[in-house]
Amino acid sequence: MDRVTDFFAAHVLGTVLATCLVLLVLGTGYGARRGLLQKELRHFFYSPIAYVVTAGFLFINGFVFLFVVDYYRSGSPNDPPVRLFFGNGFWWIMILIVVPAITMRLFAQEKASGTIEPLLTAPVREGEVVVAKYLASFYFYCFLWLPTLIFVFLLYKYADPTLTLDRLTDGTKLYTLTGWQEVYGRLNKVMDLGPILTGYLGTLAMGAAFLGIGCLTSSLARDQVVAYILGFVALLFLFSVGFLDSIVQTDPSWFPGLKKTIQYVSFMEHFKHFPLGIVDTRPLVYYGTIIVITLFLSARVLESRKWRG
Amino acid sequence: MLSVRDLTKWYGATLALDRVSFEVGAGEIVGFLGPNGAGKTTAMRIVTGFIPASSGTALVDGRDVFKESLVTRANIGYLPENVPLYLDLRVEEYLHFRAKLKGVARRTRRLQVASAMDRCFISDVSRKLIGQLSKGYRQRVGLADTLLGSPKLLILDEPTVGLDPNQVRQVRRLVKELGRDHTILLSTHILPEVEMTCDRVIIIHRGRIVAEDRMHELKERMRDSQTIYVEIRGEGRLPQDAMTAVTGVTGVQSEKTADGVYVLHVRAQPETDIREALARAFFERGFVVREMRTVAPSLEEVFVRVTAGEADAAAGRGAGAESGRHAAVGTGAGPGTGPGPGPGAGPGRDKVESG
Repeated sequence: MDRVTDFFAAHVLGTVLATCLVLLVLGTGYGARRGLLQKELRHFFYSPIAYVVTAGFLFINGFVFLFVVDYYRSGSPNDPPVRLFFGNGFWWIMILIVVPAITMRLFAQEKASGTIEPLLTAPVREGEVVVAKYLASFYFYCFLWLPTLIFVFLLYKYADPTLTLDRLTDGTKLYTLTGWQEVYGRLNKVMDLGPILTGYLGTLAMGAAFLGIGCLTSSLARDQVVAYILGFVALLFLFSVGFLDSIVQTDPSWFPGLKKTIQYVSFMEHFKHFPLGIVDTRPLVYYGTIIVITLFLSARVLESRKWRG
Repeated sequence: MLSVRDLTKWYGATLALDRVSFEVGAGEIVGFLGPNGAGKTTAMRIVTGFIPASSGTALVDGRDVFKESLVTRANIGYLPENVPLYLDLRVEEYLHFRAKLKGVARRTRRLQVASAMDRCFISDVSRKLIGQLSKGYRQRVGLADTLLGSPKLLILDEPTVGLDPNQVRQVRRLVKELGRDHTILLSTHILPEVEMTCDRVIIIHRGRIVAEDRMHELKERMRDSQTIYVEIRGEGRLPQDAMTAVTGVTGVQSEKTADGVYVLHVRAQPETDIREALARAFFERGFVVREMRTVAPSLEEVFVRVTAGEADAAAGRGAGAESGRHAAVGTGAGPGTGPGPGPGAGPGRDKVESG
């Protein structure tokens, strides 16, 4: 690869990732300033349902992991393993089901129980409330994925180091590093760590966008069930738009850019490259846009009581 | 402290508030009274900045509640109707969260929460989940919350609804005590509550203020007749002619309670004292007077008078019957439990109100 573009790409990517991180830190500070974030996290972790969901989530992921490992033992598959773990059918179904379940509570419950009234008559801005609630749901989502790191550990522990991926990278030079980089290097010797990291990155980034949509639907609904169904339908639509791509063979004359548009909107399309170890900035920007828009709209919906008749 | 001018609120095509204007001076406890659905909650929501008015202004300490919402909200402690709380948090936890939310500095937060819990008598349940608390305790948790951040103005929307008589007394006493260093606007449809706690009353009906005055002045204005409670005992039938013999009597309601004992509610013209003449008249006819007293016109009567004549009067009567029950347990300072203008089917009646 061209050194210049390589350098440039690395910097663009670095900037995007660093921006995400800075935003996350700033948002956390913003949400925690008035104790709102802590309160939302409490709601999540005080509920026994949270642990039931986590357990179920881990259980299904465990099956997927088992399946992937078994698949590799029994033959020489064409797909890279991470591609099988992130982005498989189970993975999509789990995210589509779990994300609206995380977010349905956020506003709908406060509205149904009336707690929204003391909350919004306290000296806080709607934006602070939205950001805190959204971040809490994001942290809970991260918490759901956290136990799956066990799988990485299991691979590290039991994979045969003689079958390393050294042949894919000329390792020796890379691994003369110290500190955490050495740990990374050691891990990387046993397995291809890059795609694993990007797989997680994609999962979290895409989940973040989904949570934004769930947040918006919860702010629209007064009832948790309605919030869930609205959120689920919205996510299902954005996901299944991807199937249209294979149905639509050629652009119809009345919509020249249809195929392209479908690809732009489709979440399937955007996620495709993450488990391959490729971090494309376009999906990250897409996710970021969705988050900003949905959170902005959620805040407007909360404020709408002020200008609706 | 609080100044409301020409407040009007439309919900779609429904007029909830119609040019409502009133003032609440610093240090006052003002009762906001009205039948269900009169617009009390709407008015309070506007003042607390939860919803805006269609027109008109509300100023807290001279600042507009809509234009300088954040500043005015910090000056208001608000207890919404039915006291919505997070049931999955502990009392202490909830109050700490609320204190932080209201911008109470970290140094004083612990102290403020502790003192708020102390004042509302909930220190003993500070480690309990709010969801496990009884209604009375929850009410007091809500009240403790309003104190955090030391707001100058407390707005309490039906602070005693759904409580048992003992709890009602506790909350009432608490409100009275809080009135020493806060300005309080409190809404209710329970009349004795207002009579006992408030300096001034505003009666609102169908979105309009129909009466507003100091308590005794209001009663004074409404006094175009007086009622005297009499209990007599004697042989024979009730001496109707004893009443007609006394000048000034305009009507009488009688009831035989036991053998030879009658309870009478004698209505007379105002500004006259007929008690002695009445006692003499009974005595001359062989009846002894066991008890006799003037019944002050209760706020209940005032209330029904200004809001009656329409469908909502039923709600007023219902509330009246309820008030009778409370007063019976009451504090002694209670209003005459006497001739309610028509005892409604008190018990078993549940409150339904929105907006």
